[in-house]
Amino acid sequence: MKSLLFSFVLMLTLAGQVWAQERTVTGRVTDAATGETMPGVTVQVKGTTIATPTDVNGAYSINVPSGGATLVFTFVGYANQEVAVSTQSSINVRLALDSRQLSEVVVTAMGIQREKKDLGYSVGTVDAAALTIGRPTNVVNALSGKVAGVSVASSSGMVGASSGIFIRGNTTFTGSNQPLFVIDGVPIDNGGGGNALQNGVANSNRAIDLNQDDIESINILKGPAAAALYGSRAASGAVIITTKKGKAGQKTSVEFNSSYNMVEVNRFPEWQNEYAQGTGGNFIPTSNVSWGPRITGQTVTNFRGEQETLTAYPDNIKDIFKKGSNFQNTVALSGGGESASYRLSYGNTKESGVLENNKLQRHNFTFNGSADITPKLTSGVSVQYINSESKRTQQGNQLSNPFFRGWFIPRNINLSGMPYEDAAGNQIYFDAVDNPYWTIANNTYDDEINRVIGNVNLSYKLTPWLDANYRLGVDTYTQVEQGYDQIGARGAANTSAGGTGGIYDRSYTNTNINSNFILSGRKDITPDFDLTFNVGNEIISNSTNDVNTIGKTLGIRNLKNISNASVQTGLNSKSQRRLVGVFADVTFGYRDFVTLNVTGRNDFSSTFGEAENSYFYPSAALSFVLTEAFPVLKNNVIEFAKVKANYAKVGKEAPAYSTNTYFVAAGASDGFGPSIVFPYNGLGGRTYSNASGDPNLRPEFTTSKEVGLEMQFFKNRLGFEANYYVTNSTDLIFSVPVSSSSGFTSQTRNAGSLRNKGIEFLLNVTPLKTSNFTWDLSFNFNRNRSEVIELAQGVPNIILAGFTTPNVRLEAGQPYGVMYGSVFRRNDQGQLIIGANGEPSLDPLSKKIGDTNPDWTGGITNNLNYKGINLSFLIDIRKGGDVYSRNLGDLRRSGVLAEAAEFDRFTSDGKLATPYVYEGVKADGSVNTTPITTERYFTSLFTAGESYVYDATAVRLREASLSYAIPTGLLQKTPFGRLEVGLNGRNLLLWAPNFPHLDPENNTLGVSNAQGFEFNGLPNTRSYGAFLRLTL
Amino acid sequence: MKKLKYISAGVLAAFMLSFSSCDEFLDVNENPNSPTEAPIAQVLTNATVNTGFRNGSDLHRFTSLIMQQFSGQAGPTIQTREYQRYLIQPSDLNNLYNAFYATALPDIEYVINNSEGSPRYTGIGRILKAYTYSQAVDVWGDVPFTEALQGVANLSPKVDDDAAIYPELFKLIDQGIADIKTPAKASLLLPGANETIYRGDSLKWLKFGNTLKLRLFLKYSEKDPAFAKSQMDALIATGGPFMTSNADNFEMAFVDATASQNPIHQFEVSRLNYTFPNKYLVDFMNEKVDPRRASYFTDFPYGSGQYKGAAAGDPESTNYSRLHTYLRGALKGTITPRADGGINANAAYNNAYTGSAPIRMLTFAEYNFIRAEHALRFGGGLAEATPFYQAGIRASMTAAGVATAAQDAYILANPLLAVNPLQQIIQEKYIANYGVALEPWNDWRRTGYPAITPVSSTIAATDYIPRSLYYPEAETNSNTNFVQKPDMNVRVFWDTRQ
Repeated sequence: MKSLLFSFVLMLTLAGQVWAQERTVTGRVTDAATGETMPGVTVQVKGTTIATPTDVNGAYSINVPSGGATLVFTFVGYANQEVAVSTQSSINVRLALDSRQLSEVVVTAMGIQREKKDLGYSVGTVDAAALTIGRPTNVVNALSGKVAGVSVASSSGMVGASSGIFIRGNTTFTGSNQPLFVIDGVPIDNGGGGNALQNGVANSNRAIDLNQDDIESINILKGPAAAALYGSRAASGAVIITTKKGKAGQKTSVEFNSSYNMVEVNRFPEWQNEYAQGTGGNFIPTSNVSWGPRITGQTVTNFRGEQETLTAYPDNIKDIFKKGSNFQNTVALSGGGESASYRLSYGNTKESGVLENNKLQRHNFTFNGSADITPKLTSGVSVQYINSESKRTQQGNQLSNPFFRGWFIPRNINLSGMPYEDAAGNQIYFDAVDNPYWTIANNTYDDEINRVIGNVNLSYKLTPWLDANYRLGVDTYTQVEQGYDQIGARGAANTSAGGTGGIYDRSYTNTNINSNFILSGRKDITPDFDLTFNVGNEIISNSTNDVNTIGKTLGIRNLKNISNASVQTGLNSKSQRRLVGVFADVTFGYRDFVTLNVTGRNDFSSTFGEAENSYFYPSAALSFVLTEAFPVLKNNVIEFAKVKANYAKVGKEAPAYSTNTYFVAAGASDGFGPSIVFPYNGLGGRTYSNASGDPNLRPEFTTSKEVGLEMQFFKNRLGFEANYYVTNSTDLIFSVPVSSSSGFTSQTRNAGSLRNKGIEFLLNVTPLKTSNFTWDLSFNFNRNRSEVIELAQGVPNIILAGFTTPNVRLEAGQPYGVMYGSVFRRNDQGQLIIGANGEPSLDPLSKKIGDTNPDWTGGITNNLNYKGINLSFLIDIRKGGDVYSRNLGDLRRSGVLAEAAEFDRFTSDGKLATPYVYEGVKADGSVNTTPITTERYFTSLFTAGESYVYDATAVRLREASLSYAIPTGLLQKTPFGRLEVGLNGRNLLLWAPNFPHLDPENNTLGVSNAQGFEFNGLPNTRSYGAFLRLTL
Repeated sequence: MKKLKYISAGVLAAFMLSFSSCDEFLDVNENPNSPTEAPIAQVLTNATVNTGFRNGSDLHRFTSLIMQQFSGQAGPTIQTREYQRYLIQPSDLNNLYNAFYATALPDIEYVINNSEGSPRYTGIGRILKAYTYSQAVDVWGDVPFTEALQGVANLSPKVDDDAAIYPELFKLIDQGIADIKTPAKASLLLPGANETIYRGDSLKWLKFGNTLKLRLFLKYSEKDPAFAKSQMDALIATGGPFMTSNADNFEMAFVDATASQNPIHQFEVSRLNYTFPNKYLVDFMNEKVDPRRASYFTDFPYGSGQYKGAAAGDPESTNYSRLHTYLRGALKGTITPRADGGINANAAYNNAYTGSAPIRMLTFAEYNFIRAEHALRFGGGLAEATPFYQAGIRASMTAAGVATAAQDAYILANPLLAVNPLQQIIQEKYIANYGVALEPWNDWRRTGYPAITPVSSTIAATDYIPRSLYYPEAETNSNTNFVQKPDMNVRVFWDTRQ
């Protein structure tokens, strides 16, 4: 490896070439169809490196050898044109659109650009226009429903809430299944985003830091074949982001984008407003359920001991929320001279959430520049500085989450009409949880991120057919957090201070450095046979440092300084990982229709012992364009047909420090809450970890096979792409439970395997196309089937997340992520066994109660254009997949829902009515006929976890925009190059036939391999507003 | 131009040269957060703290509920309520088993194996190891011993015959005593405050070692009375040393600070209304107007001087006496009762206790009751047993803060009688061992005393009182050498009472 690096350094020092005698040719390039001038067209002297772009007016000037030469004019999407130069000094050229329009160039792994038609694997593309319809703060959300095989899991509508991306299912058990994010060739961190179940706020995945207005396009490399060159980190695919750049020869222009959206909760439960708080029909002022008396204006004593008239407050819960907003602005300056170009931009995003004290403000400063140092040596630099600050509210299964019981506040509580705290700041509430207003105001979380992403790159043309490229990239950020738990908080909140007040100061630094050297060449071996190759080396270094001080027992209310805590615990965790990879990528092209791409990569990872730290993996992808190979196939109907097939294997490294076993900080706990935290009574302690490492740890591998077909019909008015893939992951590294008689409870080792099979389908249609009107429609579909084939010997299942009941687990022979929980006792015929009291009883064993995987997902994108008026909308579809909804369970058991007032709860003589009879049999086999009250029905239903597992099928109008671009003709006398105004929205409509009252798109755990787990989740939101785009 | 080229080449070369070789560049997998070796002084601290914690946690909960010292309440499906009706499932026992095999024993083993030249540490390690294994045997019977704790070298240790494990424990204690007897100056390292039970006091460890042996020999009282007698006789003849006061109690003191309080108190705080004193124990003490009640329980109604326990199957209520200072530590605040005399389990109530009461594991009181039983059955009979019986009561009462006069009155009113003297001794031992995990259940299995009545068959999950606990589910899942017991009626080797 070392020698490779030095050879590059040597190459850089090679002397420049001697120039032959030459003369100058000038001219102008225009569009053959419109006659407009074309800037940015590459004009090259064939067989040399002499090249120049056309300027803003389509003009060029180039030196050609006096002995005669040929000029090649190339522009993406247009057919190349060659013109022989004899004695002319002026050559004007008209370029025509490439009829196939398939010479679309795609950025693939390692920044290698390839024509889409040559690809033997599937790449999904989202361009800037499609990306910025809905304008969510988190750019990951903007990918939802747009690419077949790519599913986006949004965790909630809270400010800064994370969203995960899963490409073609999961490839590992407990490690991350998130794809690699790459910006302009530099891998960046998209970590974070996982939430604690029982404390804290909704965390962000770090791609949230990106400004969508800086993005030119996003390519998604689906699976190992496409991403093989990225090696270890791309087993779950890669998201390749290309940012906007200035172009050489482009006149200076200013681009301004602005959008303002209102944000509001997108779905509220349907509450009843007939019955008051209490149980058994009696008013109980401290009860948190609504099984009390009918509200008839009677006088009662409330929880503060005051007399009040019993009244229903239909909006007592809705009033906790406010209208939020999302304001985004970007201004960019770009331009270019003959040998240099740049783009400079500033963007800011200001989001105010649907709860008070929930805000996010982000500033993005971006600079991209490139310059030709010599005709052979070009350089580029790209820097992004991001500053982001946010405030958030508690979530999860804890009493400081305002919606732990907030969704089912008794109907007669006039929450907004009473103070939430007394003069001393003590909270006032009827229930033993935090008053929602009090916790939102008092238990706070603040963070600030400072992040720099950048790279410098150099490219040197060694020979006309061989380039050397070097790129050094960095992504580093520091996240500073402060959590404050008010004295008297009843929940765990940020610090689990048990009401004594708590504060924590955390500083987390994450630095990724990436060095990348590639030699790339292209050679026509024979007129029919060409060869492209890239060989290179990559060096990756990742280091993190997490420093946290947790203080409890505060002396002074609202003094948010760690010195205010009389008990303090310091924590620190550092990690470092390094990886060196060498790779080769060779593409053979035969005429215009066969392309074989073979790659190999060998990684050396610091996370393994020396014996296992080197591992190789190959890939091969074949593309065969039938319509080129057999022109007879091409007719009025069929325009294009291509088949593709690929095989790839990708190795994945281990978590740092998994090869050894350590003495960790001492402590004691028993799973019920009691615990001893060291230092104990001034003593330090160490204990041999219960988790053993494995010195023989080796990489886990994911192998994929894929076949696909792409066709275009009716002059590209109709096209489709269909792919079938099988992905096998083996030797998976996870913490395998072992017999604790050994002294360990688990060992991190290679065990287990996993399989995904799926089909993807993409259909593009232009149903209507006239000179003024076009309608483009795109439909994508993905069906993935996963199976956990094996965990480890003697290990029937492992729990990914959750409680004793319910939980999400991996079980051999089952799909990835099945839900387990308590169920009612049933007989062999599956009938409920009902007790003498008319209620079912619990089976002592937990059983499978749901499958979190959707049957299929899909998206329908519509784009209608009429004379500058554009209507775009995306319908996002998810069929099947279960969600465990604790909120729905709570809403039903507490008697606040409309359905709990479906039948009169009282008989005419004022006794409790018994309108419900469980369908089932009694112990003696006879049909149950025992009627029970509404309260007992819904309360008993709640005891089994199976009662609140719901099918999350949903069809939603995910994004829509209606805009008008003022015709360029009208703008000619104005300084504007382009002016577009419009309305847009996100999550506008939702149809969830089997999921009542709430939005099923919610995951309390955030970015997690355990999906479908909603535990007192905060709501999802919709947004709508207007936008403006202009250029000067 | 050339200059630029050289500069860039230079920068790149410098960057690459900063890693002198690939191997060195990749050699960063050494964990900066945690060491692979640790000083035995710090490891022993974890072992003793966890020993105390274990004895106030799951182990105490299961056994005090089975033995009707505690009662589980707070509504259906609450764990303590289930345990009390003998619904203890294999999955409930994973944590308890880990507390022995994954938490305490590997650290004790590490101290023993890495204390060469520091025999004081070795000795404490060996005695602790014997104590820990004796508890594991008493809970489950056959458990891994000879192949246990070998780490990844053996991930499926075999399960050893429990009768064969006890003799090994005697050897361990003897070795430990011999180690500790080494003069202090011959021990490189000396345990001190880092050993959180006796703070490194070697004489106390010797007393504990000998008293532990007495406890274990007595377990043979039914299975092999001759062995029990001969071993106890011989040990007593050596003069020990044995425990001589409550200061010798094998107990772990806790501290009034967040996450440092004793686990019984912490459980009260985190699991409101899960546990109340059991009606059986409370009535038993009410009958004798036992002065220890004032520190064992809160009175109900509060301030009345009356005590009321809860029973299995009681409807949900908080109108009972609650656990008090003996288990939770001294009062530092005031308890404000409700109008009906009950106490709400709120923050004010929970914060009224220091939470620093010790977790008692083998007390001077128990030593005296062991001696009383030995005297009664294997020695000079009633007359020789009586002083030990009385000393046991006095030791317990002193620990419970009972004044001498009240002690005298109680002893006068409750003399050791010729009728059923063994029952009387064990009953007093049962009261004295309030808060001591496991031992009351051991005594009941061995002697049948106190003669508790099984929980009513209408609510009990089994038709017997458990004689051992199931193997944990995590073990039967991961180690094929474990064969789950058919029920909890399977007995440990010394439990031969019919």
